[in-house]
Amino acid sequence: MTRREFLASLAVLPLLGEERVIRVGHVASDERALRGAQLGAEEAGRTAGLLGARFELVTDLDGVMAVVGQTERPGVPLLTTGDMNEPGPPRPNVFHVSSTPAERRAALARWSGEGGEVVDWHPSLTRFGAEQLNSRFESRFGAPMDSLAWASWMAVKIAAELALRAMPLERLRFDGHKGEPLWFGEDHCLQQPLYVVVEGKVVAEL
Amino acid sequence: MKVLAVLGVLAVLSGSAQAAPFAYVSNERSGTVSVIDLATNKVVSTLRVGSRPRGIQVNGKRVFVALSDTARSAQSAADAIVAFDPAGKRILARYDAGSDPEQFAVTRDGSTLFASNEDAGTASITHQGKVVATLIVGIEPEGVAISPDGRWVYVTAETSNTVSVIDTQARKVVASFLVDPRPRAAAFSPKGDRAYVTAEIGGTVSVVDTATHQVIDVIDLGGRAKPVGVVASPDGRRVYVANGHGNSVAVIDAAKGKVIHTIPVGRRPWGIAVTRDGKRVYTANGLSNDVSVIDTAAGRVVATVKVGEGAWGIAISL
Repeated sequence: MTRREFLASLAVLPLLGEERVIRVGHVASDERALRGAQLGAEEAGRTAGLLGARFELVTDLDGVMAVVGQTERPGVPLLTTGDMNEPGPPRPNVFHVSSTPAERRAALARWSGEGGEVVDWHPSLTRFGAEQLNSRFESRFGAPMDSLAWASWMAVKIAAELALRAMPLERLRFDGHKGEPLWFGEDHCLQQPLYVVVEGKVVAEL
Repeated sequence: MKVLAVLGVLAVLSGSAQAAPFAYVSNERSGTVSVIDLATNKVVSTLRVGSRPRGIQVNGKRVFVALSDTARSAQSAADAIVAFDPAGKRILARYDAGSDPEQFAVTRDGSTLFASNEDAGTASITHQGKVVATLIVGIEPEGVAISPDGRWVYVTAETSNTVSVIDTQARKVVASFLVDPRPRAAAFSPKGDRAYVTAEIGGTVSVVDTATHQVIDVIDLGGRAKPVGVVASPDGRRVYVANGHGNSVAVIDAAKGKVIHTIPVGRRPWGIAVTRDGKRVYTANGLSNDVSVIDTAAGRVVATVKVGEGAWGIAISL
């Protein structure tokens, strides 16, 4: 993001209006996805409230500015979360928040150990504010935050920032409590650190 | 009469000794504050203050340091801001500042403290020893700075990427604005017309016009910078940024809005402070457990002072 672009984005903010409502769609049945998205929505709601806007996470996809999950809506950005096949060539308006199978395979290949599983997130992470996020999730739901919950939380946060900052998704940088800026590459996949887990413990960050 | 005169002289002498300029470093893991004599760059006192000392401020007569327990989202007796004497010999007072106070600002008269409560997502205002207001700010509030005229307090929030503006008279949040990802700290210019907000994940410093509370410029720190602490030079011409994981200090030309120099320091500098004459900048280095002393004219580290474990914040006598 250049300085000029950032300032241009700020100039848009006063035009949001006092009653600006940001509606994001989320259709899911998995409890982990629902919880992650819910925490994301509560936090986005608080941020939006500070900035004079209102945030709503809805299951009715009419009039939403973005969708989180796997339900495509023509002309609306989709932030994908959860298991999927290889996404293939990038499509306009489709961006992948959860890591793809190919990304996880590549990460595992970089790791030289044996028997590891590659994950997007783990409830034992503590650095870079991960402990705070894990703690917020755990105290809110009485359950640990796993990869799907994190991706759902992250996707809702990305959707909210997209609306509040009024900048193209490709230009934005996000904080996912992973210690590095996260952004969408040319392949429309979120560029992010991944973790190798062996016997329930994080043994490497890739 | 003679005895009284001698006592008077002694009082003046001890008074002047206490007024010597010191740097105060909070050591999060040691539970102590290291007091460094700026004339010799030697630790002259180490005061045991309590659990997890982090934010630290000086208001002239006293030094304040924020303490917290290790339990999240729960307030305990370990959560407090304590005040101690400038020589770093004894604790004088203990104040309630809400749950897990991390960073804070203090008014010039020392009567009022503004603290961020990270897990509660609030800012607490403590006036004459009592919490008089608990304000909702952004999520995971962290950096706190007070304008030189005492009118505004800025509170950064790491997760919502916001800065909330507290009107110190009304004791209310009157505005909030977005900055780059993970804002960690804020500092006002000496004139108070600008504020500088670091964004750790954004790798930037936002420049804020304090008349309108709007970001007017964003300075990219480049490379591996993960900016945390920030301070403006007394003449307002330079802004110094502790680059955290970048293990360096960025020197910004405030008029140009550009980094003009990057100075390697110890490992993981978080807190940063500048001497009253602007000739030295001190960083508290959390991983190397030391303080780097920068000669601002030479643009390099001229001394390294060993302190306690987990050096976090640093403040210098006014």
